[in-house]
Amino acid sequence: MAVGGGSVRPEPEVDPDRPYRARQLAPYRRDAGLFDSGLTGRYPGLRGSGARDARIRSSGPGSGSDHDPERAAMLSGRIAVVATIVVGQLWGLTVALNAWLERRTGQVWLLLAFEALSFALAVAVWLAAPRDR
Amino acid sequence: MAREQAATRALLDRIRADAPVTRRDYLRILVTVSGGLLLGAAAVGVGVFRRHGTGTAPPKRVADRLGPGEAVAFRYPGVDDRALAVRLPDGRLAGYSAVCTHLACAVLWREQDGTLQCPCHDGVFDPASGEVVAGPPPRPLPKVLLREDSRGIWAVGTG
Repeated sequence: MAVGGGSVRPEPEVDPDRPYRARQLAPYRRDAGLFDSGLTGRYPGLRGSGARDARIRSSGPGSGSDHDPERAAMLSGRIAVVATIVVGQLWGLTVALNAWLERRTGQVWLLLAFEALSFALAVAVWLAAPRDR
Repeated sequence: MAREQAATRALLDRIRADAPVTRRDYLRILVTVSGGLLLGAAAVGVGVFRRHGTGTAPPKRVADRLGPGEAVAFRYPGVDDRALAVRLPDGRLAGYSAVCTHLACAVLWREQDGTLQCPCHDGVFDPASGEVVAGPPPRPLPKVLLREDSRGIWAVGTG
């Protein structure tokens, strides 16, 4: 297949006798199937067939292109939001421990509620991600 | 055979070349850490972490008498709860935990300065209130309640 600039994309490196070799060697890798399919280059979707690549949801014109280009940014955004929540929880835990040692029990319970709310928010942000992989 | 081994090795190299932790894994790890922090805060709330004066003990006589500027070290309410009692120059009696709130070094009475001092990092506490006067301690010293009668000076509780 010709790709921009006239370069020719090499054929996938799949051993026809052992098409599922990567899955045998690295069953812990969820993307082992991609190695077996040969779709592990820089632009795996350009192969066009969509075989075994969950990101390619249809055939025909435009298949293999990214239909949700903002998906990666959304995932990065979710990570940033949850990381911010975790930093806030670290602060809350520090203040809660200090309040406990100073016998300000009411403040400890308030901060415990804050921690629970933060965790619930982190779970919500995590679960809101689309199940497209 | 050697060719097959080389192919297997090459395939393993390709698999290992990619980071095994994806961004989705990072997200899951962060949520797990968030849950761990919630558990830590719950542990603080239910009192897993020990603080001075946890528990109760009967009144304990710590000295027969103390003159102005004198101090006595004792343990109250538990054997691990180091404490000290000080007779201030104005005649008042004050009792505090003798564990520095910075890094738990021993707090000592310095009669020449009239201060409570932690020699580890030069933390200084006001003997009249237990508040931090100088140095890195983040909190004042926990109080030990004292009572004085004809039989001596007694530690009766923690404040």
